[in-house]
Amino acid sequence: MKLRFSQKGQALTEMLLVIPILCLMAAGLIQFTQLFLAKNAFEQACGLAARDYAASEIDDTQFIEDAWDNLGDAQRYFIPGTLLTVPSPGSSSTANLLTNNLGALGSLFSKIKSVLVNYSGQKWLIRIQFRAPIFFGTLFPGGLTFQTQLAVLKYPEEGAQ
Amino acid sequence: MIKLQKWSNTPTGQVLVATVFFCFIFTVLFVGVFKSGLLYNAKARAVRATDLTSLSAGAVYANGMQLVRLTNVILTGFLAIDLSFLLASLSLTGGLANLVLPKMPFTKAVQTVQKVLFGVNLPTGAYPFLIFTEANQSSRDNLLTNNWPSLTSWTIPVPPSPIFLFNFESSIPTSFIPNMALKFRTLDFFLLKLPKDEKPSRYYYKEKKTGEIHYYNADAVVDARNPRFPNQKKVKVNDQWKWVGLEKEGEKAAQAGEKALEDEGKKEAKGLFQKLKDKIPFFDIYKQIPIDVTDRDDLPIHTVLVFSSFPSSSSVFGGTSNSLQCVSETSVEGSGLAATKINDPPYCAKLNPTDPTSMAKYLNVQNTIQQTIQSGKLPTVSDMFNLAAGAPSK
Repeated sequence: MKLRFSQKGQALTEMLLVIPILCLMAAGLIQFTQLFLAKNAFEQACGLAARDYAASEIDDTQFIEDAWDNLGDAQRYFIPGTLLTVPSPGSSSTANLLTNNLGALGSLFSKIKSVLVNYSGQKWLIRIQFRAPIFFGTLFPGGLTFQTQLAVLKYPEEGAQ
Repeated sequence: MIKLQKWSNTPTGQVLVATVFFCFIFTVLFVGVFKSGLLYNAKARAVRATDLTSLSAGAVYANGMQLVRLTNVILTGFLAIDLSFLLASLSLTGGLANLVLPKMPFTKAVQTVQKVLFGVNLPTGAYPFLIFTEANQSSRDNLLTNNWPSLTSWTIPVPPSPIFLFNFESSIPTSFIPNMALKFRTLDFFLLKLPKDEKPSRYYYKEKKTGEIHYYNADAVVDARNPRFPNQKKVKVNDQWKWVGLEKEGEKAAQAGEKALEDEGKKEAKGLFQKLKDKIPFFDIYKQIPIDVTDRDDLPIHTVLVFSSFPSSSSVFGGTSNSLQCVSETSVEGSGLAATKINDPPYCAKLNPTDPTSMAKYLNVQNTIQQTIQSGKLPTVSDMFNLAAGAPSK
């Protein structure tokens, strides 16, 4: 009975009660920050890959590989192999719309078209699976999917940076 | 209330109050991280989208410059045909009448096509408009705020977004956007210029980086018209204009630099055509004979500046939804537009670093365009930058 009403160890009891909550919140905060960090790294990586495409350093088929490489250290936040481009209609270039039928008229017209409209466009819808950390994993068992969209026209020579 | 106060003084009450207090602090932290995280991501996306839109405009612009070269090749061919007809008629008539007012129908036809297509000496043209539409489409694909008329909706954009500024650094006040900063080169371009008879004033300029002093004639130095560095001058070195980070130091002639100045003067050769010009007055008509298309500016300036808005979803927990403003500039660079450059490497688009502090200026431009559109006029460069007529001079 004496122990029950003693004020000795009050601070310890308080600490024991509060510290788990604090740790939980701190961990949540860190994971929350990681989420945004990963999202930002994903956006940056995709942007850099698009600029590499515009500079003719990669072609469309290498886009995913390049974007994954651009993630660098941030790769650890994502599930490998989940970076995908979702099929989307290509960037509707006005000039291409106007001259698309020229190609159908024969090889000469096709050549004329390639001289007149020597730039091409690409539009990407990209998805990646975020590797949810332990607390986020509890809230989102299926993980989180990030998605972004970007488009660029390139003049098919080196130089754009 | 008194009961609550008493309870909060008990150990259990204190623990609970402290826990609630910490929960509040962490909730605030969570909200802060969430909002700043959203905004940070939106900022990254806005910068990326504006850069890609700007690069897209640059790609179409670069394609246009290659087309200008191609049309200059065609023009040169027709010029040769016209000249052969002219020489033939001269040999028949044996007079100089046709030389004074030469009629070159084929050349003029090609020049008319160039004029309409590229907007040479015109406010705008078909191809500059194509650059605008392509860049506009790219901005839509990159999810930037876009309220320009599309094929399905024809509404007046208020305020217009994004804004595309073409070669605004060197634009003439009456020019309409878009334009490709081109002009026709006249035949007198090929005449060498004589050094002036009177002794020119001499100035000395200090290089900002090294502190080195350079000496130039007054006519060799002009204002660089670089909006970022208003005091920057450009100087003619070895018959080419160079951007040099020079600031005027003084006007008195200095002994140490005299030799370099004299050497520069000797390089200005007196050509045969120039001597002829002194003797034959009708050589001045060559100033009126346009030949091929060339850059309007010397040094050439071909830039596209995109001022855009990106919608952000920061309206969490009662905040207002805002747009993020971004600026991106792409320059189109190449070796020149003359027909002889047709096999040179094609023009390429490069992203330029932009000054974020210039954002306020572009917000002002956006408002001015809005006011101009609302008053039923087409916005010109003079409207947007509040330029007086004739400035900046070209």
